Amino acid sequence: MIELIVSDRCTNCGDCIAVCPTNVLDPGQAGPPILARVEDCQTCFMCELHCRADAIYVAPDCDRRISVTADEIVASGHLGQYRKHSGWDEWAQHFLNEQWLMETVFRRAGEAAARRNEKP
Amino acid sequence: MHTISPNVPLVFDRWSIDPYRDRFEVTLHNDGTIRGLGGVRVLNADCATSVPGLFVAGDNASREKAAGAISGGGNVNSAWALSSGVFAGQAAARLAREAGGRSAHLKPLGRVGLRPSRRPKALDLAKVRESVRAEMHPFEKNLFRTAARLNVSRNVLDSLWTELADHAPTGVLAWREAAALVAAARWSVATAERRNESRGMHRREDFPEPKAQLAIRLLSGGLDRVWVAADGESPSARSSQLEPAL
Repeated sequence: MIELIVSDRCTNCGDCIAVCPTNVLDPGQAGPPILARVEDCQTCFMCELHCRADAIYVAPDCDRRISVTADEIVASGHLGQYRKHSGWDEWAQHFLNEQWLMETVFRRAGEAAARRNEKP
Repeated sequence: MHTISPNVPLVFDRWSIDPYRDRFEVTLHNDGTIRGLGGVRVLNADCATSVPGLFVAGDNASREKAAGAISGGGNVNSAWALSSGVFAGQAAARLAREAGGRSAHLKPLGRVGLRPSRRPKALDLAKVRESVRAEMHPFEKNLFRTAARLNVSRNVLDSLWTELADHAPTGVLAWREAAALVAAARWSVATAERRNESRGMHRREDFPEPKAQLAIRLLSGGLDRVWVAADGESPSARSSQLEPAL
């Protein structure tokens, strides 16, 4: 679930508010967006992916919140990892994005399962 | 995996798990949505629906015309998100342009979660959501289905629907969303009841084998009365049930 937005990185562009499919965030008064409905977060990482300031941290547990500080997260190196490995924005030339191959992976898995089921 | 689906290694990294070497716990999560497999039925290449002027895109739009019964990430989902958005957007814009600046007297038709038919009551939203989950999430109800259990679910969901139709408060978006949850759950249960066979991920314990005559798509809809029909049956027989009761 989304845990925090690092306020000194956030540029208040509002992209995370717009892109969240479950409407977790509200605009802040004079600062970063507010985590208004964290219980609705599906841990889809879309806010992280769209955050060009690499200010958002989504923890991998989709059922319960964890306790984490901005300092720990900045030090962890996780901020911006998803956007970078997806080859978005300035990373386009550095990281290959082959998401289009996913269907092939599923097909191969299906074929492997079918072969296994054929065997007595 | 890193280049095809970077969101997967991302999660393992954050758990400090090496998925190729370490053992890790696996749980089954109901995400509770229809994902790429259902949605509002797309009628034509404009992504128009049976409601005049309503166009659908992405996960809201049925995708069987493009992808059949398969789901998955990557190319089909991405291509569908993009292309259905373009189709629907262009068609909606074209319609709006043709309609010009004419103003019309529009009469809102939405009822459940918007305009209760009786006196609004202080219903418990969390409880309503939990009641839907209690029918849709348990494995014994929806991974291993039987006619008897589906019938129980149908009755529970029908009562929920009636309660919302009669009393759900007005002016709160979350109630409209709750109504949509109940509606989608009712369509799902009704269709699972009708499909008295096992096929793909739909497993009926009382009918473990597929049936040749059910190698068809089933459509479902309706609000106060839910209907299920085989794809290709005359739509006129059920169009009247799609009209909101006023």
